[in-house]
Amino acid sequence: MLRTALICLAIAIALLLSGYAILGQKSAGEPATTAKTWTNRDMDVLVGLPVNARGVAAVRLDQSGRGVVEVATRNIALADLPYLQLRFRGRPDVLAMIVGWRTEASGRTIRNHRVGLSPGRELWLDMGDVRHWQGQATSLAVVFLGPPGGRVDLETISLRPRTIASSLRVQLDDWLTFVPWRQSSINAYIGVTAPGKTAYPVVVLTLLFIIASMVYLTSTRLGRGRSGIRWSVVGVIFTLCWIAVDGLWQYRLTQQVTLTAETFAGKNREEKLLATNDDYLFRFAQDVRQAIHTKDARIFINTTDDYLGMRSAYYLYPMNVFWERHARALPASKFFQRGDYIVLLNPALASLNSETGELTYGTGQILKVRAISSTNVGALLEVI
Amino acid sequence: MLMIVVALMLTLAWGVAWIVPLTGELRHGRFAIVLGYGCFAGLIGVPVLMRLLNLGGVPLRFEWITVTAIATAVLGVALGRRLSVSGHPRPPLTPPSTRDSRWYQLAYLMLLALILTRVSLLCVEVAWRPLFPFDATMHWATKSRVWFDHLAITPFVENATWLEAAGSGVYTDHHPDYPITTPLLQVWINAALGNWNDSAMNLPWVLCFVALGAAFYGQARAAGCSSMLAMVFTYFLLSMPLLNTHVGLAGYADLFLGTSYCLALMAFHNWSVTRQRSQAILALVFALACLLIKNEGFFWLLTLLPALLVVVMPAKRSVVSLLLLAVVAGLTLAWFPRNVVVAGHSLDELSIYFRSSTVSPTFDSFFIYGSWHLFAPLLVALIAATVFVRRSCFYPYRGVTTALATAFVLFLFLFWFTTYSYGAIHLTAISRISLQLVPAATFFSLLLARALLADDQEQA
Repeated sequence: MLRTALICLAIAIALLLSGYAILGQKSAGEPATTAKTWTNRDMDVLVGLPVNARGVAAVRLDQSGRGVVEVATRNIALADLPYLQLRFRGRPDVLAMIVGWRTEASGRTIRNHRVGLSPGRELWLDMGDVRHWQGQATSLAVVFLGPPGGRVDLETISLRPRTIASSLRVQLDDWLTFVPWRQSSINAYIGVTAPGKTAYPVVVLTLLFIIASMVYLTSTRLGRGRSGIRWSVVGVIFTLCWIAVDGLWQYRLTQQVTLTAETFAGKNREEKLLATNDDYLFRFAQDVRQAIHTKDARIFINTTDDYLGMRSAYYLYPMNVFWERHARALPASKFFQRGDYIVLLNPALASLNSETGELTYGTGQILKVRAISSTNVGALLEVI
Repeated sequence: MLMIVVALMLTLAWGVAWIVPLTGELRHGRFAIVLGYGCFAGLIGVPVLMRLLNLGGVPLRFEWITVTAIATAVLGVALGRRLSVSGHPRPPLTPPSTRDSRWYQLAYLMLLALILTRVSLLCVEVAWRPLFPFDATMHWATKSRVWFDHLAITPFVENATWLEAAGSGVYTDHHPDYPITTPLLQVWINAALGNWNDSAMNLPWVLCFVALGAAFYGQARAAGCSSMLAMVFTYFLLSMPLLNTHVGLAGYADLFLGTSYCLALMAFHNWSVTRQRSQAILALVFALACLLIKNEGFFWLLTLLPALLVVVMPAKRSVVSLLLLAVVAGLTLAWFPRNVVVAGHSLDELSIYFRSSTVSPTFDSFFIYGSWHLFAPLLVALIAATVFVRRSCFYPYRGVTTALATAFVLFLFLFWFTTYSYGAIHLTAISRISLQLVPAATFFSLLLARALLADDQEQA
């Protein structure tokens, strides 16, 4: 049963790849241009601290978490080389990247494309549909964004033509690219990092299953007739396809758990929150807690950013917090009492006159307040 | 660490104490059913005990909850010994004899290893990651935080009510009216720890995941599936990415509702076939438990009503009853007061009309994106194979088919005809709500697969 299923799957894979190759050749048209590769010797570190290392362009990100590597390009028609490949030594300490380029037509204007991915040891990007990726390139640069002092060891930058092999490579790279969990992850799992540009694993594996099942059913029907069909073989084919698509998910999950362990393992609650992207918000909330000495104080939070309002409210509980989602202004002034506190998080639609101690908001609402503290995150006020 | 283990084990033990006496008549899959249903019963039961303690003015301290849980568990065992649930008018389903070839055993163990690996990874993720998802910090854990501090279930009210009351003795968040089972579970774990820990407090989500898998496997065996088929589909269920994500990014109640509905429907199906009283009780208890988890639980509970009709009535009469029920539902929708709130929603708020822009995103969420791996194509293929290849109907599974068909209609109504279409178009809610139904639908697909494979065995 297993052998039959594997044979059918192998035939299906061959048919699928053949179909892909035939379709790819029809759409490719002209013979492909030769790939162009730049090694560390061709790279200049424009931003960041260059580090001595053999065989790589090694750079430490600067204090603002940026590093830029540039290569000079001549006689390179970008439209003929849509795939950008970056190869690193080890996993770079990078959270996102920006690909920048100039062309003869753009002159000094730098075109750019942001890539919100944390790359692994290799990254393939399909720049073919990116706006302005055309014309004769005069320079190409990659901006790395990450934690200050983060290290990037870049071995090669390559531009590659659209061939069957490179298309498959881009496809596979997208499927294997790790993107850490985000807020939207709780709502759905897409399966690719570039929706609309790469094939979805579910679609490909479903197709594979259908073709393999057709191969089995057709060959069995022709050989032994309908009575020879065993649905358990189709079941094994399906299970193997499921295990394949689950393998991709398992790979991502393993990387996710590894990242979680690196970020949070061994830390107490406060240390964990300070290791997240909410660190500044948590710190602000801690300062607010320490500044408020009244046990049952009421705290009103106002900001036009729903995420900031919601999160800061959570960090302030179990204090008696009021935050209204989608509300752009504080409640009417009649609801306030002396001793209430107001947390204004930037951006907030309220203005404080520090001379008169009046907080103005909404449609002519005014409150007399005392400013307790103010940072670039927000301000804490007490109603007087 | 020890206290967390104690709290989790006590939750499991409490549930098992009440479930074991109910399952005496089960022959196949009993251990897994006891483990799965017992575990989930504990996850529902301990919060119920906490509510009772709160009603009696008892502070929600670990000691009080523990003593109450142990006392009621002993009561459960004692009651169970007196009132044995037994007797089954129809013979239980017997799973086919399994091949015990080495490859078969190897495949079985491989699937089990994949499941255990998944559970371990998710356990580690939950134990380390602080509370993360949006809604979890907006209106679920807000309650846990306040109640843990107050050692009582302090009332949460709407914003307007809070303002009128000047915040005196009341708190507010974005959804003060949501059922409180999952926040109470978080309070329970924090009470065991003695301090607020918004990582460890989410370990009940791992327990829920394990409960779902064990219960599914057990009921698959009770439904007459071979151990291999049961294991394959248990693996399918527990490997679904969005289900895993709801464990790893714990804090939402959708996983719990999906588990409760699945447990109810599986027991309902096996009762409809065997008429075992124990399955009937399990179905009833876990169907009602849906009401304690999320507002949508009310609607999923309602789907069992037409299912019950088709199971207990002869075919023709049940068709007439269903048609009448549909007419009644339509008339209710037309004449119901538009501003009256039912399960958190009013007709005014829903703004009912067909939104064609939601059809394509709905299709994508099941057949294109990876939330459910290959489940949707599997279900479609099995239905097609049942109808066109086996030329069979769904009569043996009429109960579960009716329930799921009704649930599917309600699901489409929600996303295609109401303001919640936003959640489909922008993919912010459709897959999460699907999570409440997919486990039960996986059981349905298991039944279809079993019938298809039974043909193989007849040929053999």
